[in-house]
Amino acid sequence: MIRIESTTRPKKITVSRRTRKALWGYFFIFPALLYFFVWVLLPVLTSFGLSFTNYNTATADWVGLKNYIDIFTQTKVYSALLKTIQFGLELIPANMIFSLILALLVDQKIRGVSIFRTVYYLPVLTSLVIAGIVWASLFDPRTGAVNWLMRLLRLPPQQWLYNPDLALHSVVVVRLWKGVGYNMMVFLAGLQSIPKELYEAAQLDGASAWQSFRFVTLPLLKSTAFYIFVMACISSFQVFGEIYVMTRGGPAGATRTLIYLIYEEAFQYTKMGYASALAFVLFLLVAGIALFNLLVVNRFVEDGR
Amino acid sequence: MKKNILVVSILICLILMTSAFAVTAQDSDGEIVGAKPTGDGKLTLWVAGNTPDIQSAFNEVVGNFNKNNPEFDVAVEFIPWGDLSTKLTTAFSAQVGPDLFMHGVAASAGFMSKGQIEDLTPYFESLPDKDDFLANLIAAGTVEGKVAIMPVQVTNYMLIYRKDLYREAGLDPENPPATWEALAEAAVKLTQSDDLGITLAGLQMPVEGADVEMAYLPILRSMGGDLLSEDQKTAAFNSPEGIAALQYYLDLFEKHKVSSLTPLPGDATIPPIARGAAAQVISGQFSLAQIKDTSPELYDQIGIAPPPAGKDGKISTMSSFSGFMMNAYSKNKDDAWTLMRHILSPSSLTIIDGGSLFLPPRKSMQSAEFITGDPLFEAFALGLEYGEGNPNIPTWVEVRNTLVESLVDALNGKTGAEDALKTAEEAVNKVLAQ
Amino acid sequence: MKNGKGLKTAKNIAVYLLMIIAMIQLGFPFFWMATSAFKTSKEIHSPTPVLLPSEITFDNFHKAFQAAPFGKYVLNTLFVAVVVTASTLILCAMAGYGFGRISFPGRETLFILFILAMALPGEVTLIPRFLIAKNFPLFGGNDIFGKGGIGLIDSFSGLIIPNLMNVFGVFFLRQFFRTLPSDLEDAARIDGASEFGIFWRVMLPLTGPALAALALFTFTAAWDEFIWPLVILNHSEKYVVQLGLSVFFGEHFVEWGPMMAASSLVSLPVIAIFLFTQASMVKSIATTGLKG
Repeated sequence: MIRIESTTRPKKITVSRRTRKALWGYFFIFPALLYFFVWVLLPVLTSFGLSFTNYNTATADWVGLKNYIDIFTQTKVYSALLKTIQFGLELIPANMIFSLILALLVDQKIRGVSIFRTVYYLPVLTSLVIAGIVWASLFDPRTGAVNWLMRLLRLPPQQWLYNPDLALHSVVVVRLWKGVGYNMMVFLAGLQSIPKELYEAAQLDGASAWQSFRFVTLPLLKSTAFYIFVMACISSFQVFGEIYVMTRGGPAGATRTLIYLIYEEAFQYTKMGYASALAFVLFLLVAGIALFNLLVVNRFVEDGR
Repeated sequence: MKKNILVVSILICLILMTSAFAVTAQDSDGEIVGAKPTGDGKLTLWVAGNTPDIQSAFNEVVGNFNKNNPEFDVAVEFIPWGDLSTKLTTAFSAQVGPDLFMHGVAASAGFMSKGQIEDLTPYFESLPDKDDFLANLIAAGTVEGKVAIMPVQVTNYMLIYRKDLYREAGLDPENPPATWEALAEAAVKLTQSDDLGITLAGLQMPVEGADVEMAYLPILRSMGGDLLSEDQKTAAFNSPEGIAALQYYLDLFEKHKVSSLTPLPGDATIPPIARGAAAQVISGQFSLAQIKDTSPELYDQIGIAPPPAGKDGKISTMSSFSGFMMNAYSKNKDDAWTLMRHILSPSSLTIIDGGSLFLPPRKSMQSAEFITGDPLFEAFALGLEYGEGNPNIPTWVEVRNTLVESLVDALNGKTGAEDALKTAEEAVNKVLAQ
Repeated sequence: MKNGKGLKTAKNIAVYLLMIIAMIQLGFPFFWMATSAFKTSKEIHSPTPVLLPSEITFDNFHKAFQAAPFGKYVLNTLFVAVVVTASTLILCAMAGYGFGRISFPGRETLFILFILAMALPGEVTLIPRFLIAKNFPLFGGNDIFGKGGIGLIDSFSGLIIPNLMNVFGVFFLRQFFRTLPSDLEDAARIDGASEFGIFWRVMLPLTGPALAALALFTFTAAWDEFIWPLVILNHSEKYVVQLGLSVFFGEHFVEWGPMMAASSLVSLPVIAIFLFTQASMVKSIATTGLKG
């Protein structure tokens, strides 16, 4: 139909075709948009509104900027903010590198690879509570495997989760363990989407394994990696379960990240208004990073394609 | 003379019984039978904790009620302790939720200050047997003159010690230490260590979380201090007694080396006393169940005594309880109270407390079979006379966490006793001023 | 030739070695859970960790099934997870395609809004979402304005409707749609295919691995969900598996043996889904690879 029209009245058609396509665009995103408005945007806006009140689940009085001012006078918030950033800086690169390596390993066509894939994904499927106790026993200063390894390497044994200086790093390790299989699968989906012909062509051109990785795999994996990176930035700052199960913010507040602080204020002290304001501080941090990624890094990713 | 008393008490009984019959039918055991609901008779009950024994106990209690009162239809749900606050907070935000719900006494003031729970005073005052409830528990559950929570499961914290280890260390297992100094000395004799640290703690104290406050407060009180001022508006722990109590606590780790900051040997999921890694602890009667469960061979070697006395021979034990509160949004408050009375009846309390090793809140039940049947359990009940609870104020959870943070800092050697309490005093006063 | 073969063997050995090291590290906690399910309480709590049970006992499984009807919970969760996964796949694929391959005014702004909204942690929006669930029109006795009843509370709809799709899935699939070559699309358009036809018959099959991965993630997430079912459900006959598992947590101690047994059992369906999807991921490559 479009073709018939385009032979008769070419000029008008280009416009209407574009509009038609735009309409199709709206059609495709409409259900998602509806969902987004009800279950995502509306709660976010409500929380934003609550951040200017002293809402405590029973009453809410307007307090203006008081919650935000309170945030900046609390030393607790500063240290939580620093811990959140430290957590992200350690977790994000480690997660990306390890999950890529694992994905490359399980992308090999060798016998039994699906067993390995399954085992690598098991941490994602292991309940956090159980992961928590197993890791606590691995980190046990006296009988744990981690200190056994340290002694083997002739390093001094440590108190890990019980040492305020090491507890956050220990939680990073557990989170890494829990999350790496997930991103491995994302990378694997990306790797599997790369047409095999490209590798065959590269091989015919005499490319080494490294060269075909560098010039075929990496460029085509950029889009996947970008997704993982943005999601890692967003999710690392919201890691809550591991902290809740393993340390409850301790010892001596050493693992009290911003999200844990928010949970405490919201559900232990029912200061919903203040907790919402804290959440928007976290939001600014995460959204800033995400926005930078979307506007700057994304352009770089798409240009390089 | 004797005859007079008899006549008077019969008269009183008659009056009480007729007044009770006026509300609802009630048999001699306080059990409610054939009650007529004022509303549609449908009630919802949320119970804290969902372990199999809690579930079976409350299913039995509610089952009895539904059977004896066919016009009622009570549904019971079990919520895990760790998620209780999240669930209740969310439900209250939408003004939905159960008619009656269970929680720790520490949560009651917060709910009351927000008007989310009903003032139970008029209901409680109308109880014919209200004097049977332990007065200090009712007082602990009263917020600004309003009864907020009715006690059901009571816990008392006592000194738990190992008689066999006492004998090995040359101590008298029938005469546990009566002063804090003597307790520390005994602990030194009981402690065993290797090059990596303590392998058997002479007296293991909590090192993290709310337990630290639960352990600190009885020491503080026995030494003559308290946590908050009389009017509960300011912190009172930064006193000579407070510092002495904290110093004692810290000395157990630093000076006497009888308590371990890092995990003791054995499975960390089992408390030290139950896995044989500590010779003495101050803990609740739930420890008895844990010992019985994981190390039954140790049970015969356990001794129970009140914690040592402090200044002027004062003994203080930490006692706390869980109980039921009434949702202020409940549509059938009178019916909810009828159910509450059933839960509080001696026969229901026997099922609830007897099945899970809790102390009952009624005086008349302190010599019940399920208590006197086990001398160790009975010792916890007898210790209730020294029992004192935490302050009941709306900001309690935050006050406690703030205090604990400073105490844990001190335990980890970041600050000394005086600095820790000074920091905590400032922070706690800030919370109290909200 | 001979040299090349030796190199390949060496490479394979290295790969296996690496994979086995990673396997021990990643698989140990699960292994420990699964074996503990068959241990006696004494061995579970032994001061020196016991790797394999000296004699296999099914006590923990008996206790687990006495404590809670896990069969029923598994069926409930399966129902919710399957519906949620199916709708997520469809809605996210449509939106991902719309954002990824069709240009329309406001596309970038809307997309950025989608991503940014994920930056607010779910803990904070729990109460607003609960209020929306309670006031959801035409459900649970509510009128068209969402008044009068309890809305989505205490129903399976309350678990499904707020999870009909998720924003990250849109982003995830958008990235995959973007990498597809446009010549296929153009060819189909010249053949007179409708926009929906292009999406459904040409582009969607090409994202097979991504769809399989998204299905896996959505299913796993639905299986793991705890807080939302906790606040939404008020009757234990509607419980999902994670709520069932909490039965082993007392106020002061945890029943490890039955918990290990129940956790192992309820993870079996997700492992089955994993095995199925990872196989279909590889298979779908074989077909798209040829065409692409």
